[in-house]
Amino acid sequence: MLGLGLQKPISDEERQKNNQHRHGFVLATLAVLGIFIYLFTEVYQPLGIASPKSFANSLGFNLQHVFDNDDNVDCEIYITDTSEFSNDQERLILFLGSAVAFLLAYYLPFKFKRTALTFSFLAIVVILYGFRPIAGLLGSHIVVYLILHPINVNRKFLAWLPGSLIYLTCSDPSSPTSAVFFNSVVFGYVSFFCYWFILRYLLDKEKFSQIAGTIAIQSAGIITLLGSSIEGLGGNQWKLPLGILLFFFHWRRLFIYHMDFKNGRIPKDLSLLGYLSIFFNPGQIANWSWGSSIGQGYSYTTDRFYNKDKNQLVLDGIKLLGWSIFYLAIGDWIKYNLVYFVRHEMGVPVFWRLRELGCHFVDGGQASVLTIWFSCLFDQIKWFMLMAGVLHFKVGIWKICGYDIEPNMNRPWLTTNLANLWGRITLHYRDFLIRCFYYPVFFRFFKKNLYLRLFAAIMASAGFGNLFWGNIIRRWIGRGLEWRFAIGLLKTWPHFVTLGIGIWVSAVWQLIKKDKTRKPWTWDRKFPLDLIAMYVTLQYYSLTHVFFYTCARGTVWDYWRLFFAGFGIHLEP
Amino acid sequence: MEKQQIKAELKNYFETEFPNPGLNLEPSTDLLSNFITDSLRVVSTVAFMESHFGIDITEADIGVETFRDLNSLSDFIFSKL
Repeated sequence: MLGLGLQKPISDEERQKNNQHRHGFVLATLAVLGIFIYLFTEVYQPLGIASPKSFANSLGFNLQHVFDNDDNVDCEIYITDTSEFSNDQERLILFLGSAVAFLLAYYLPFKFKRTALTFSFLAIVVILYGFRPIAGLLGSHIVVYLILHPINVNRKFLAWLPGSLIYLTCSDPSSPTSAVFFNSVVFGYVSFFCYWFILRYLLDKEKFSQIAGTIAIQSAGIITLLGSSIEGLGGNQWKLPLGILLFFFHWRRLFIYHMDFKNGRIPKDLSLLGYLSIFFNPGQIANWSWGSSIGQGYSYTTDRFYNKDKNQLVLDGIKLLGWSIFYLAIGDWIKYNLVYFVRHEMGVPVFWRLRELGCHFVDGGQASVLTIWFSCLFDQIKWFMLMAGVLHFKVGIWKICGYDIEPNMNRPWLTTNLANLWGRITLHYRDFLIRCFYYPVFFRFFKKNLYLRLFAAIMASAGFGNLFWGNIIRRWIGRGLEWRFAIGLLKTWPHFVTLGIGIWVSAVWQLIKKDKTRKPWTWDRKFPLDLIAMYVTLQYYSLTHVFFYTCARGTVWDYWRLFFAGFGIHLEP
Repeated sequence: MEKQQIKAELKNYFETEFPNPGLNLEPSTDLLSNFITDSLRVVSTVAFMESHFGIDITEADIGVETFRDLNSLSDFIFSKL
């Protein structure tokens, strides 16, 4: 389960050995994708077959909170920021496109597989979004590519692309086609001249190259801060073209790519297609901003392509897709029944959403310890099931396409400490924070004191890095470049501090505990302690979210009061 | 310090700090699958190597080539001494 840049490289000969066809696995994969299409789209209507709801009813299952008004299964998989299609239509395009990508990746000769996946990605997103957004996404990535991997004379035409593509994404859709075409050619030449006659020479200077690379990689954060500051100072709000927004959603993966680059793990002469194949994969398309670290950087993705027998990877992918269906279909049903049981059988008031508890408390309402515990825990269970449904789907698609990507979520109920839990629910995100924040601090500061060193590294990653690089994407860039979103985000700081302290305490405990031979969940007299440790870990983690899912009219102090009320300590307003 | 001595001290460290009953730690035993299984173990191993052998380790040194087994780890330490 160890990522952290420690995966083993694999040779092309070994990969070739892993490329044996077994048609039964192909049929099984297509059948699973067919189930996705049946359950989560409206395809049953034109086919004239029973809807998923009717089918479930005919089998005697009459479940609440499972089906939509259109009688298919309510599903959290969606495509971010599309306008052309309904959610059901988007999902149909994604599932069909993923099936085609899978077939191409499975059957094409080895040297074409990753290219086929890249072009499958582009084809699916062009159908979903149209050409303009994809031009922006592609153009932005080519800028990063040209800075990190300067081109030679044989490929100088690539320098023409960024200007042309980025103009296209920013152009007014109502402009005449001829004008757009003419201007995109002009901007193409501008970018070519800027790159070929100026930037290329500057990139030869190491310092400039480093700064330019960092600015390109961190452009999402820089633009967000700049745009929001201008809006906060009374200026106009910047509206990001969709293509640029989609590029920004690759921010974390770009960051890890840059770490690989700086550590010399990426060939300098990597081709553009080789670069794009890291980021453009059908597994990336669903819910763009969810699990946006999945796949990590260059070395993780490259070393895990066909590192096992492809049929084993397909089987692993099918299993994950099966779990995805389970969580997507009955996640809400489970939470509904948990809340119903605690409310009606135990008589404890429980809030359906954590934000509702926050608003109730801020408005002067009372909340018992049990109410706080159950509301926090059930809210996390709901989020876990939503995320598991979507992220198992995303990783499942990566897997059937030949990548041994680890599941982002892995049985969090087996955790016995907070440090371990964090890797079980957000594995790729955890690895991103470790590589980009934890290691850089750990290897530079407080080298004489391990505990202080750990504290600094954990607070840099779980605290600072998690707050800014982790949540800006979802809670700031996605909503718009407005200063109030920055303030709203900053007000959640206690969540990151309490989480960081909790992880540090559990890490220190791991280091100083005397019995290091016993593995958790060994069936012995300490087994009940594992159960207690698991519950305490999950409860504490969920309780820290009172600072995260907040009520707009509350203050940070209100949420500290709510947090302590969870321990039975009542503080004055 | 000789490589054999480095290897013996590393073996003692892993068997004490990350015991794995039933597994005999040989010079070619896969450390990443059996001993250094999470990030905390990576960094505590780094801290041990820095303090015990007096070497300086950077992020770029964190790689499978270094942490694969006792042989690779002792080669790495020897090269830093």
